[in-house]
Amino acid sequence: MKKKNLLALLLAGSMTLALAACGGGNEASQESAAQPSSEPTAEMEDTVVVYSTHGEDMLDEIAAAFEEKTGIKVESINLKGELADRVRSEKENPQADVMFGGDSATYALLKEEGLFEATNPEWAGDLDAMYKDSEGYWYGTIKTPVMLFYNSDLLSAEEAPKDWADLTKPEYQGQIVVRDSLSSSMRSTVCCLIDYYTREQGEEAAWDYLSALDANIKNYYNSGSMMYAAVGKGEAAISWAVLSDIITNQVDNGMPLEIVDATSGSVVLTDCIAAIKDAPHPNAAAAFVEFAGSAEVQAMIANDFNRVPTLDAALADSPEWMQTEYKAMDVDWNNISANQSAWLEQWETNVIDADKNLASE
Amino acid sequence: MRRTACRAGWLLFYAILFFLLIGYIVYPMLNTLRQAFLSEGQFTTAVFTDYITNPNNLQVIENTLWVGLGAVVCCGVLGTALALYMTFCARRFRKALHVLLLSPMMIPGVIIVIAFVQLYGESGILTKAVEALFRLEETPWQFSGLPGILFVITYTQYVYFYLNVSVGLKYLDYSAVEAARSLGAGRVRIFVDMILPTILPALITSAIMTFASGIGAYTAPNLIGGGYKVLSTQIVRSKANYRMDIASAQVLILFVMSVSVMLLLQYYKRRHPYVRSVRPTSWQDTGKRSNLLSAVCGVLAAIQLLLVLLPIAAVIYLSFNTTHSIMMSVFPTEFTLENYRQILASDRVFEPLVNSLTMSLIAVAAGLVLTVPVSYLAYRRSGRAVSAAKYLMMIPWCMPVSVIGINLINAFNVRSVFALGQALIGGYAILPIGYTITALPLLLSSNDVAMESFNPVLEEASKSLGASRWYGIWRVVLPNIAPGVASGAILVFIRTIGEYTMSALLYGVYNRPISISMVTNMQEFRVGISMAYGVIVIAVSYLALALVLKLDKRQQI
Repeated sequence: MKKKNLLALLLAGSMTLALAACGGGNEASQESAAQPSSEPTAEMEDTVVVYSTHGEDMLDEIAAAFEEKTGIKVESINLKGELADRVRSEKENPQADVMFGGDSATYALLKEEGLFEATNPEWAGDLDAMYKDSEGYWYGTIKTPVMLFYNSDLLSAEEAPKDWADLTKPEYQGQIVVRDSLSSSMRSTVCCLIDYYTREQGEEAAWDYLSALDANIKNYYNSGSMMYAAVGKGEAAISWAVLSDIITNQVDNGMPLEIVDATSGSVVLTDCIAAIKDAPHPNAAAAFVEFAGSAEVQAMIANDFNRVPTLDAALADSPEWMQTEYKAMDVDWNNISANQSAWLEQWETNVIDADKNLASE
Repeated sequence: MRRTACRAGWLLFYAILFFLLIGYIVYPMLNTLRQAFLSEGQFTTAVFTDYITNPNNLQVIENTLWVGLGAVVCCGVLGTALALYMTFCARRFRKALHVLLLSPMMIPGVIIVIAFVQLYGESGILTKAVEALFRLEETPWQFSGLPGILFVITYTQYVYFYLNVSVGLKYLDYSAVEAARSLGAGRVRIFVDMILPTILPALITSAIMTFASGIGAYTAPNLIGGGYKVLSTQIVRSKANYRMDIASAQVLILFVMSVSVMLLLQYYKRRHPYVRSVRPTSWQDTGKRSNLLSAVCGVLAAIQLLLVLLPIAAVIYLSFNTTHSIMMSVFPTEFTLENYRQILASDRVFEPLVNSLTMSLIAVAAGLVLTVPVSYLAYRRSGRAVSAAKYLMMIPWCMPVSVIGINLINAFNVRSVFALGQALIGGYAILPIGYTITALPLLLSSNDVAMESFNPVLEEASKSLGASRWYGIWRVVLPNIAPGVASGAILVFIRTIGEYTMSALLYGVYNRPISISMVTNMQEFRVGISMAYGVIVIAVSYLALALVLKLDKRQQI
């Protein structure tokens, strides 16, 4: 008897739920279908949906400030390296209003694909031309240096590498750990290194450099935490990462990390923001872009999350260390934007662990 | 009249079933494969040939095959051994042991891999302990590459074999075993001639599933790969490199690989049919057993149990440590309740938990509605429609979770007739749909194991005693298959709560699941907090399991 009851219960419950699920799905989609597709009206929506690469703490803080100022509720998720891919795949039926974070090469590419709506925030005029799209489709609101660092318990300043070129030296064999190719900063860094060495020494030399680098790399980590743990526990001494993450681990997690101001410059990305075309809440999107890029918010996240501002007005109110600039690597972002897909595929297939793979045979 | 109504009902069921199966499984797969051979509107095999002629890529394919085969062998040995032990040898705490043995299913792969690295990695607790104990100069083992991946897969996926074989063993006829024994048959003889044929369907079912999940394993190779590239990780990378054509070629290879293994095993299964006894006598523990064998069995089972429980203990232990000590020390000892305090203080906690529970329930419910009638029909009569439905439902077996996700993205990022003219990506429904698709083969196979073990004579008997067909289904068939069906449903439920790969591909702002919260914290250097989330997921899964067990105390999953 009891068994029978259980199954009947399960089946009955499951049918109700299945129906409820269908109902829920339709409701949600009807809602989005009922939205005006692109025509911006004067009316402000009560929600804005933000897809981002930034950490939840930072998004929550910006969201709280925005909500307090405008009364608009922010729904945000952190999609990390998959952000561009997601925005692309929702092209036919955008769910998000704003794309927040990711380097300028990616934004240039997505603009070409017609994924953005131009905006005209008040602060746009104060922004240096190198940090914005000439037609107003995207704006760079955060400077994100990717820097070499080492565990100072394991290496002295003399022993530590001084530049990217040093990383291929035999003494650093097995001493380097990095993020894998699904990390967006790693992708940008590899593209910058290819662009830089191609211009300095020719494309063949650039690929030779990456292969030699791969031979010295002990492990590629899918998770930033595991990579930092490997450095923290002394499995390897050297790595590179986004500066704000290095500082988080130095300060919040008390790790003995030392930053290297590389002689040929560190990779400096520009983290951007853009309003998405045909978004469900176009006016709220424009309002969020206006707010998140403002000097006030740039200074706020500079102080609370170590993110370097692009507006001079914000830099003035930022922590002391941001005033001295690290040397930036000289790269051509247009060239990177045009070639990144092919370069990354080549690097992924024929460079990463290629010898280790074949050697294991 | 009733007959016509009944037939119309089945026709409607079939219509809806095939609409869903074709729309959400077949069409998305074909749509992806089309991209492997379509470049700028032209049909071409260039992408495919380029791919398979590169020795680096061939190595990737070979690696993938080794992981799949290794997973089947390792999980098969461990899962079957545990099922045999639990059925024949375990005496005390059987229910508790059973629940503990199901635990690896509940923990999201990402968390368990972190726990494994903490235990067995280069700076792992056990690694360092062995190093110190034997005064070794170098690390005693490399927790990476194929052995590392297989180790993780074995201890997270043996549950398929364990559960299916356990269910199969319930239908072993012990009176026949006793008879054989009294006629002088030895243990080996009994195992080969009597036990093995009974559990063969369960073994084959589990092998197909384990092979597919092995070649599709994403988290383990991704997190501890150490230079060991496999197809499933490369697919995601090709997609990130905006090379959908290469990704599709990789999907095709993976698909062909698992379909061939599935067909091969099913062919073998059909060649070896077996007949059930009319009235199996259940195993009665007589308390007699030979001491040496059961002692050896007990020790082996204890070691296995220890290996299964260690990572769970590690997750719980780490959740009470500061992130600083987890990142810096081999054996973290900075205790704190801060991780839990922060979780409870955040608004973002309960919503993902509720989302995950709701979506898991939807997946189980929808899956049962679709699979139970099909299993029953397939067993009643072999029609073309029903075997077609079964084949379609088993296709997701051959597809790694990331492939199903990518297929769904490609098919439903545009308005589709199958979604009644809507685009689903970014909305709420797409993730439960994805969960349901992965649940179908698992549910169908556990239904089938239950159904195949059900004695058809019983239903015939009810009919000859004058019961109507529906009465027979209600009072005879359903109560008898309920244990097998429920075991599959519970498995799917607890597995879905912490599911990560599909979630990462399909979640949106309105249905953020708990696994995403966990990984996000992990990425943002709050390892302690994500461990605390892991503990919450484990606790919720145990609660769900306890609830089901309480609902039906006689239930033997």
